[in-house]
Amino acid sequence: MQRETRIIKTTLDMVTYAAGLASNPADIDPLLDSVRSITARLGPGQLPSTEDDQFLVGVYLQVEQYLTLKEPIRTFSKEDLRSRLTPELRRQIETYETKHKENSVT
Amino acid sequence: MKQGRIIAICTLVVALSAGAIITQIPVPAAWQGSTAAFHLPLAGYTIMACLHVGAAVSFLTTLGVYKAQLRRAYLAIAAGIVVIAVGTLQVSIIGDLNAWHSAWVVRGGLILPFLCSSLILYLGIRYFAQLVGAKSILSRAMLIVPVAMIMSIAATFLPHVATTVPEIGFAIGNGITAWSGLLILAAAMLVLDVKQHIGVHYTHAMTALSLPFFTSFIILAVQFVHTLTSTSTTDLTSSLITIMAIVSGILWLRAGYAFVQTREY
Repeated sequence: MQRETRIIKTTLDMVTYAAGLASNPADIDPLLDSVRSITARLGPGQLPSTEDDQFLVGVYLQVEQYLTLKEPIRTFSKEDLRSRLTPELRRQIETYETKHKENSVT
Repeated sequence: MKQGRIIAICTLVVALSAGAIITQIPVPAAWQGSTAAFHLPLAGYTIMACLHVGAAVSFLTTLGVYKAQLRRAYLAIAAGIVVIAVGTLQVSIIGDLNAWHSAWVVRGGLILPFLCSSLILYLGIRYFAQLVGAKSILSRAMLIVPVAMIMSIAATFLPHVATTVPEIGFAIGNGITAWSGLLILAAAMLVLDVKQHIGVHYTHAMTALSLPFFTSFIILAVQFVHTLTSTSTTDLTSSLITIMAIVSGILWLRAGYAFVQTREY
């Protein structure tokens, strides 16, 4: 009965975790199409490549944005959503955000 | 998580204590059956009512994390649960006190909770379904409510055993049971539809929510058939209905607990 509060370690799990929180998955389904193509390519136990990781971080941020701004039934905060991620994943997200902020400025 | 568990345990303790206290109430002089036949249904429905109230409290404790629209759906579900419990408990009390000719019963007060509770629950679930984008024919209230009404009216014409209750009162009672059963069934099926549609974080809670709805429908269906075929209120079927009412209370409490769990992610 008790829900397991596990720590999320991979970028793929991170996207799956965030997507599972959407009360209306149809809203974020187009975002997940590209994630499905990555999972289809991976063999059992195989981890995503560095390029895929970067892509998945981008997808996670889009899902996170949906959850914090558009989710129809409940309120989410970035901090709470990221609290279950490993420090390494949080660092990857921050790096991605900084990089994209710099790109948008230049 | 802890809060949900505390509410569930406190509810169970209060429900069992209330049931035990009820068995100590003196039997009225006018009562013609056995002492057990007086106390057991009353104790059973008291336990059921306490469990329903505990479930409603569980639902209300989750309001904080949800947006205003879902709060409305939750409030409707919680209100429906409480009203259904109060309605069932009052029937047991009225039966034990043989107050079938009291002003409350004669003026229609008895049927009011049953008329409202199923409609409130159905509308609450329908609102929930709309919020998460679940589109189903069952969420069309303009279709479901009139269909339930027509079928309830049709149910009043069904043949039944001879009874001392005036025909009009008997027909209204059966009609209300059919009305409640049909709306609860529609709500139960709508919950399953929402479960298919909603994100994985909520699927366990939706499964837990569907169970008390289906149990309530079975209770109402058994009650409906029993009323048409028997006048006894102390037979095996009546006892079975009391037990199932307690089970539905436990399932409501479990559903409330499952929804408390959805607060965490």
